[in-house]
Amino acid sequence: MIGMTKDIERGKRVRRSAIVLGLIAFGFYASFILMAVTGYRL
Amino acid sequence: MANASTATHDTHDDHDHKPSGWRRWVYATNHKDIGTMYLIFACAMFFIGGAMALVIRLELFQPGLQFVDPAFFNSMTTMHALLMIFGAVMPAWTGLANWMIPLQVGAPDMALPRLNNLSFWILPFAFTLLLLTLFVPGGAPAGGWTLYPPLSLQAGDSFPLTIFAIHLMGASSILGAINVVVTIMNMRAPGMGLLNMPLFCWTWLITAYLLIAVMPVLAGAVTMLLTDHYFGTSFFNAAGGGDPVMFQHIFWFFGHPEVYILILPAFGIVSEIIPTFSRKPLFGYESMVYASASIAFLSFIVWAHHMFTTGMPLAGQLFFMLSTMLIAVPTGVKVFNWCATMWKGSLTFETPMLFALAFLFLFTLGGFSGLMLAIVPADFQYHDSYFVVAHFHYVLVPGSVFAIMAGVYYWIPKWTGRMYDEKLGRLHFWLSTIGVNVVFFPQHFLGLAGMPRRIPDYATQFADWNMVSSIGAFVFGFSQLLFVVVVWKCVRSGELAPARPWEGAHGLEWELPTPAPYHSWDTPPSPQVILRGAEHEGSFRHT
Repeated sequence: MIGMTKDIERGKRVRRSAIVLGLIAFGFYASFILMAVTGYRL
Repeated sequence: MANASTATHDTHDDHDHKPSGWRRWVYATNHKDIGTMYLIFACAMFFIGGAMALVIRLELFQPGLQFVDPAFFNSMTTMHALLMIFGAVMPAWTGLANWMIPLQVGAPDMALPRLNNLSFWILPFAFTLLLLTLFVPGGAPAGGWTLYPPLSLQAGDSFPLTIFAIHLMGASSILGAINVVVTIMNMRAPGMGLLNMPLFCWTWLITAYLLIAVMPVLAGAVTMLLTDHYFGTSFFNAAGGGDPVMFQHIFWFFGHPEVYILILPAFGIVSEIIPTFSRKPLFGYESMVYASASIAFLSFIVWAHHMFTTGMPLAGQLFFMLSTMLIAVPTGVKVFNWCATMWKGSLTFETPMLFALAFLFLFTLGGFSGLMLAIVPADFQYHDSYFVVAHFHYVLVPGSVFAIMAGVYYWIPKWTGRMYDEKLGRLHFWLSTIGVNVVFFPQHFLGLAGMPRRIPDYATQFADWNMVSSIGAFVFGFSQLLFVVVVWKCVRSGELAPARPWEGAHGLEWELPTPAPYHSWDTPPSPQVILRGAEHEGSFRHT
């Protein structure tokens, strides 16, 4: 039972970290296009 | 001790069922099957990309136009690069990661097996699209793998196919990288801290973060190229108020970390192999981890050294020159640690060690020519010359490709349960090492003498070294067929391998029976087993 709970928790953690990393990747994609659209310079 | 854990795993053999026929591969979710598919795919692309390299060297064998027309020659240089970078080296690393990371961290599989299947199966479609461009009106892309506008925007029907193919490759890499990060962060065996991990896992973890950060940037750049071409935008079109140099900035913000994506896992593999064949723990484990992380960080702030000649303020030139030179520090730490690991070790020179040693010498040589290129006034001379071609091929061929070969020779007994033919392996090594130096060393001389890159014809003063380089290319190219023979012989009829074929090898993968069972580490390894592996890594202080 304890093992199953651990597995469920780990499953949730796995999904959460995958989604966060995916969003970070998308953020990089969108931000570079936005920088180009707005002509932003560092 | 190893037998104890082997016996534990033997009890799982009755569960070692696997799907059969095409379903095993198309619906694959097992990390070993997906790893195998990645490696076979990478090998196929290596030979297609290699054949293109031979077309290039054939044409350059002597001055004048011999075999192909200049447009096709330019397509060959572009396609060779795209295939080798995105089709051969990156998938080979992902294949090795798939095979080895779960075995090395004591996980039963990758964290996201179906995503893993998707990451792989995107690739054949991406490269089919890319290779189809060879047959469309206007021919394959010919503006170089860097896709600089306005030249790349002048491509024919190949343009959308190339852009879509690059998007797909990028998506595959991002998904693969997410899988690696999530696996390492969540699936390590209980008791295995981050600083107990083998260096291959560490370098791959850092590589995966680089991939997540920069592949979307490439996707953004090519999306803007696409809208410039088809939707009337002017991101990179000076006539419409855009800036073609901006593309170069965005491209190299991806492109320079990409170089480290191609080489960091090689550092990891060499850090596995040198201790094994020196029969000593790795010297300076922690400093290796921090050096890898420093290299990754620095890779984000050096991109404009690829474009000194586009013109930039003096402060910019100085910043990018000095930050580039700074990379030599963590790299030097690594080279020092590998040498210190071998110092007073009980060395033997089996094929994986030979490839690792060649990596050590020749990658360092490529690094030195990189330092030369970092010097702004010198770069004005070297830029777009064969010196650059020599530099990055030294880093990528005896660097990345040799490390991949070393990794395959090192782990193939664990994968197949059989030993490869050592004599043939060594022959492959010597032919490759001699070949690679004969191809690329003379290219330094050609570049210094002023021969530009990406040209199908050249002045007669460059004839001799070009002929030597082409002969080396054919020796190197054909000697890779020997690699296929070695692997084929190993799989079909190699001698049975013991669970730990290398006496100096430690680490969790060697605690499993050989060949590694289809389902491994269903029961996580015990802390004692983890400790044994960590001793080899030199990271046992952290357990």
